[in-house]
Amino acid sequence: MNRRIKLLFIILLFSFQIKAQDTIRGVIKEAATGMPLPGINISVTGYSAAITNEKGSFRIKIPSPDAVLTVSGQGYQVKEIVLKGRRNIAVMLHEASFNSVYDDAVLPFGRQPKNSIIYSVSAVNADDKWQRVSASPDACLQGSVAGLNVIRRSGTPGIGAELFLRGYTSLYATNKPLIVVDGMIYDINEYGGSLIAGHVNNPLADIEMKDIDNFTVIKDGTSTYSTKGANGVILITTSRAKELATKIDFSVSGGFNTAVTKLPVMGAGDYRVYLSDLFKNEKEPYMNDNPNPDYYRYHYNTDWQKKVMSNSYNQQYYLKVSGGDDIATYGLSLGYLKQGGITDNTNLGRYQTRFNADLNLSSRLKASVNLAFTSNQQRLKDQGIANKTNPLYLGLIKAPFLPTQVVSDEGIESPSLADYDIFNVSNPLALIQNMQAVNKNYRFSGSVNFRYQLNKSVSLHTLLGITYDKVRENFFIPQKGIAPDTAVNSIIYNRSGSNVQRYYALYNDTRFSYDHTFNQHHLSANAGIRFNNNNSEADYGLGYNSATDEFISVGMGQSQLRQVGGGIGKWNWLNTYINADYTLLNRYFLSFNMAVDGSSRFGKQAPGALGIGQYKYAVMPSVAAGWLISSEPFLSGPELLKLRVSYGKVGNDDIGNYAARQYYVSQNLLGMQGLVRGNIGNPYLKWESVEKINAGVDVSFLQERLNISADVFSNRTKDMLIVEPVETVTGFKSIITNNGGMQTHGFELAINSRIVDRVLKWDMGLNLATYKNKITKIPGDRILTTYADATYLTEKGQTANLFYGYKTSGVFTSDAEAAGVMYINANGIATPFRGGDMRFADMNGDHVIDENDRQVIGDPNPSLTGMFSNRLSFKRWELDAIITFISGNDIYNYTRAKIESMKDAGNQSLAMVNRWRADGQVTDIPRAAWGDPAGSARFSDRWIEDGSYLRLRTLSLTYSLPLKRGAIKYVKISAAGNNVFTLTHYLGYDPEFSASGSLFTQGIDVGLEPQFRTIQLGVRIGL
Amino acid sequence: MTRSVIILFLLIVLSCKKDKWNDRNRIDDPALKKDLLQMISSNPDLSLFNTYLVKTGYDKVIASSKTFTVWAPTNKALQGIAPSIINDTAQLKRLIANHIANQSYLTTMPSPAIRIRTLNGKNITFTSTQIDEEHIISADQYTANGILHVVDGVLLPKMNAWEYLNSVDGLQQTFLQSLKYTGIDTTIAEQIGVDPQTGRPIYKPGTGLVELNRFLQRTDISNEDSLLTYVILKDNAYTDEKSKLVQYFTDTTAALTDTTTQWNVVKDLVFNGVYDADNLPAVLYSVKDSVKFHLDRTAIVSVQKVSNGIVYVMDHIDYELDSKIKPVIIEGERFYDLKDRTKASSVRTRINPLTHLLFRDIYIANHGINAFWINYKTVVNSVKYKVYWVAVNDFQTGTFPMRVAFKDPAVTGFPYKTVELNNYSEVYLGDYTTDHYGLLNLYLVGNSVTTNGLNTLVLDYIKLVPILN
Repeated sequence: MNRRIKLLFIILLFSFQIKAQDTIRGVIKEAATGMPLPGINISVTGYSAAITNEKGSFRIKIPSPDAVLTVSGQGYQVKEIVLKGRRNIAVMLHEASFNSVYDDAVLPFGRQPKNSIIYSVSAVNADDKWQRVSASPDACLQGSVAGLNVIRRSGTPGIGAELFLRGYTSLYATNKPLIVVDGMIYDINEYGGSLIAGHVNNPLADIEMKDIDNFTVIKDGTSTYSTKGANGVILITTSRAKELATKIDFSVSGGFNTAVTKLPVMGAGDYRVYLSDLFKNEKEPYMNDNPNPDYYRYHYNTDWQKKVMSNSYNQQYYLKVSGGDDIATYGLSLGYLKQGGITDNTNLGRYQTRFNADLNLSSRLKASVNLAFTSNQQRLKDQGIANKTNPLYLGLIKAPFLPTQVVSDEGIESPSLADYDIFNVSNPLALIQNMQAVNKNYRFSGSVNFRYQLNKSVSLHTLLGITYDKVRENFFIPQKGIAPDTAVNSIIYNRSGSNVQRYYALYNDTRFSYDHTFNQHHLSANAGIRFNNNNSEADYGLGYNSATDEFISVGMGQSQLRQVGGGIGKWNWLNTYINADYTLLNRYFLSFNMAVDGSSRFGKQAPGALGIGQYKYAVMPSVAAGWLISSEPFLSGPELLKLRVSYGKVGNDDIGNYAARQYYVSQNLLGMQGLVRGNIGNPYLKWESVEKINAGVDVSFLQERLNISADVFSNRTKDMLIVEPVETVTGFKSIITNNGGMQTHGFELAINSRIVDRVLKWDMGLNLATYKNKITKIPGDRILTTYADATYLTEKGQTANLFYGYKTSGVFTSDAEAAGVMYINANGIATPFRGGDMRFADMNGDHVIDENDRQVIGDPNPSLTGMFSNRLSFKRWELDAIITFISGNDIYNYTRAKIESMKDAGNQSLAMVNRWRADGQVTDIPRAAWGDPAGSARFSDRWIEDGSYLRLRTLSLTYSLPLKRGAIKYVKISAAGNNVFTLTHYLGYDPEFSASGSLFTQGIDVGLEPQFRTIQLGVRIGL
Repeated sequence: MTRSVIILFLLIVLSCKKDKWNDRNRIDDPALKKDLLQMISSNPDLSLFNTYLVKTGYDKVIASSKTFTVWAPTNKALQGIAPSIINDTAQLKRLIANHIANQSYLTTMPSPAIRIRTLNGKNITFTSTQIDEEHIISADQYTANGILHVVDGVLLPKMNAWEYLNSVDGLQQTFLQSLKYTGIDTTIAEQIGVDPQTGRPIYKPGTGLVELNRFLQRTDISNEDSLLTYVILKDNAYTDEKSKLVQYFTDTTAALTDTTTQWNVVKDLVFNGVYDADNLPAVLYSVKDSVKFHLDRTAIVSVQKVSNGIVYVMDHIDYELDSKIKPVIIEGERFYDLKDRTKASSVRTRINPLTHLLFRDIYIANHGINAFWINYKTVVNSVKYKVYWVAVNDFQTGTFPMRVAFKDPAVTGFPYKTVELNNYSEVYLGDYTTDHYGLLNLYLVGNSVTTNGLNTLVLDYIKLVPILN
């Protein structure tokens, strides 16, 4: 018996590697100063704990020589120490705000220290961004995460950004990452689209940045989100009460937006010479310099760009109160914001409130509540391709010799605005002053989350939430001052429009969680169901030609011209998932995820899919493994060295609510209303699936002063959605199929380092990302798409959406030089080029320049994106500078193509003075020619520019006032700048814009409101 | 160290400001940095022209923000100009303006020639090597606001045909000048109200008055944009023509006769196009009335090139008289009056089976009126005419008679003539001598019965063919 006990004891000893109860000692010091730190907690989880004395030294019992100590203390970072047999340790601690590898990151199933995460995950702490100029969360993420390419849509306040995580996975379905806020899916889609040209309604802007605690960007291992996880997941956690004491944070800020540098367009003199060259007619009223009744009306020199853009102001007030007791804690925030736009008479006003509470209902049952309501009212103007109503565009092309006001024969200006002009160009000021375009929207999102602890290891969670979103837009474009437009069967003088978009979603996520540590093994597992029920409705009405400009509603328009339309969407998503994470000896990690998805969108005959009953389900598994080498006894160099690899399958369910079914749409035929087939239903339609492989390494050296993360990845999309052309005889243009495929592989690198760590602290961060995209399968091997006069080529074996056009090499200096090369004119006749026409490359050598001579002339995909950040803190001062950059991407400068086309009466860029005038003149600017018969202004490399830029994205300086202990905890005064400067060769207003989320609009500068510089002063007071 | 970092930073910030556009906007071509005036003044060989530009004020014009073409004569060429022109500001202005045109004209444009209106309103002819008769010695110099050509001669402004006519005295000039009158140009008259009855505008008296000429209103030989050949008759030829034509234009008074005759002498002396004296075509058709001329080279006394064509002064002209004194055709359906306007008339469209051409005629039947008539009015010469009609009876089986009467339907100089069945040809009715030039009343008179079918009237046309000696 005794022997048997002894044997058992030895076996136990052996198997758990416990030699004996042991004690080690150590000292803890502050990294910056080397001062010993008293009162620091040291613990071995579930075993023992200790606290440092005034000399910073401690003693603690350990279960084994390779135990892990957790060190934490008020105002300092959390740190894990792997003993590896050491009996005497010295630990250097950084301050709490230090970006440490031991920080927790929020993951879908709870918090986890970064050093044990084996997926490619980037956590961004948002709490330190108060002093920044307010922006929507998507725009705020710019540069923060390697591989997340954030392209702000335009300079319009709150319009947000396109998010491309690791390039893209789809041509026609969404490339947006899934957004999950406090555990609930946050829908960021637009339903129905804006009636206001160039505007995008951005639900993400409804989340106030100051409400956000942190972001987690998950690049792989999102299989539990299954067919919504193809583009990664961004988890947003809003801030909750961190302590029981009542805490009040108040901030107020005011900013100044500076108008962008104007594009150099011609003044009245150069412009009139240009017109004279173009029209070859000196009899027009503006050519008459002799006294005549029209003289004053045509002899101004107006700077139209100045008339439509000017400086504007921002203000923001924000209050956050948090606190509570043992039973309940709460966090309440209220905010008001008013941001001016770069276009005159545009602005955004927002009221926002959020209430988060955590309740300890019993020792086993905990509940949390998240409620948020945001209301926006935004005054806008048309942007982008709206050539008669976009004031910024009109500001460029409007004839400079015209006045803004009505002018009498004697030269006296009237207070009323001039009407559209002799060239049929609207008065930009009429749009600025009299066009009404208002977007009002609000969003409510609320959720309750219950957590019931069944026993020490098992808990039951359920989250129930709803989202309700409503957007209402009204616009009216008056007749006075605006050029009429020609519609199919009428001339349009004034226009009105209204729309309403509603979105309602119900979301539930219920799961069992299991979390258990036994000896050196740790297992956590989850199994659950997510259900998402969505309803959307969009209705719009467009009215035309109301009797006078005083009647501005759609109902006042002429009834025979009125258009009414809209759409309804209902879809459901059911997702069942399991997840298991296993850790051995705190250094070997294994993870498995799997989800089975059903969706009302999937076709009932989807091939190769799991079928249960009559429905088809998507099965998405993923596995990942990690090895924390630095915890191995044999390695002693780096602070942290972790290898990780993952393989997973995720999907994209953005295949259209009803594309798998056949539906009918209403059709007006000579006033009779009826129903016609709307599509060819494709019952075989299924989700896109993406296989993701990721391998990464995380390294940390020198007491965490140098941290490096590097990842390589490969995403392969199968069953990629394609809008496939069909035979005309079907009566349809296309059918939606799964016949495509693409792959994207790339590399990401993130480096964080503390360069100086003394009284002056200097943190430097750099992240870089690059990807390469290739189409692997496409019907017909190529797709040509067009947008804004540009053509994109998407061809098998090449990167998607390449600019496809003509290559130029200078201008023919004379007719003789142009002889022998022809173009096909508007009547289909081959016509010789003339002196002063552009010389296009004749690819097939047939001496005729036609569409067969097109070639790839540019690539809107960046070859490198990244960010370089510096943060300096010195005593009470803090300086934060973030520089973002992008390189290798090409931009099609549509706006410049318009103001350098020299084919109509629009004003031209100043460079057009160098145009070709006579034989023998050597220049790279072609001649002015009405209507551009030889196509010198066609889509060619003339308009393709390098879109690389380097921008001081944000710069902020904060000073904390020295305060005596009292009611006020802190007062921070800050000065911040947004878009402080931009280094670029791009000739447009700004190289950053996105006309839409579609790939086939990327890299085209259609003339949206540009990014502008904001300088802001703010005060933050803590009570 | 810190300071240098800050300076470096500022340098970067400042250096990135829009210099990319400055590079692009920079004008590298020296020619595009200069306007026409600067280009001319920088050429020492054009200094005299430059001086005259300044003197006439055209220097400001060609420095303005419009596009011009300048054919600048060299100093050598300008030295040959008479001081009387140079010293007369008005004349010098006309001369300098004759070298400047709106718009850009390159020597590659004419194929073979283009006429260009200069700033003085005259047209000049531009070929790839010449401007009018002068040679271009340096072509197609582009500038910021136009094109400069250097020419070896001076482009003296030419008179147009009307101006030339007025520069030579003679009967023709005297007569044409007598056609002047003062009219009103509503585009420049000042409107002071609207007539409430008629709705017509009322103009302020004395405004909008312009001098007009009836001949120019018909054939504008002063139009600089026309290209014409004009004939001026020497006085003897003019008198010859007058005496030749007077018999056909004899009117009620001698004065009227004289004016009408002179008008008919001068109205047909204009021909479209410029015809070289040595290559005159055998037949030339005059403007408007297409009188067939046979101009004789030897009859040309002098030739004058004018800005809008060429003028021949001739002492004799030859033309075909029957193309001047033309037959008169009176279409049946274009009548002036009816004996009883309440009666129905119909205009028929028929095919002539002989010519297979469409024709329209008038048809009045079943009116029940004795000697129903249709009245026509036409201008005739004072000459004897042969009278024909075409009247097609294809609507009934019986025939009926009609007659033609001049001046009064009761006059029975021309007897009733039966309208045969289906006769599509001209039927000779007799001769008629008019007593004077001018408007003639003519009647088609139906049978003097009231019986339907026997008093029908039908007429395609009546033709009066002059008998010329």
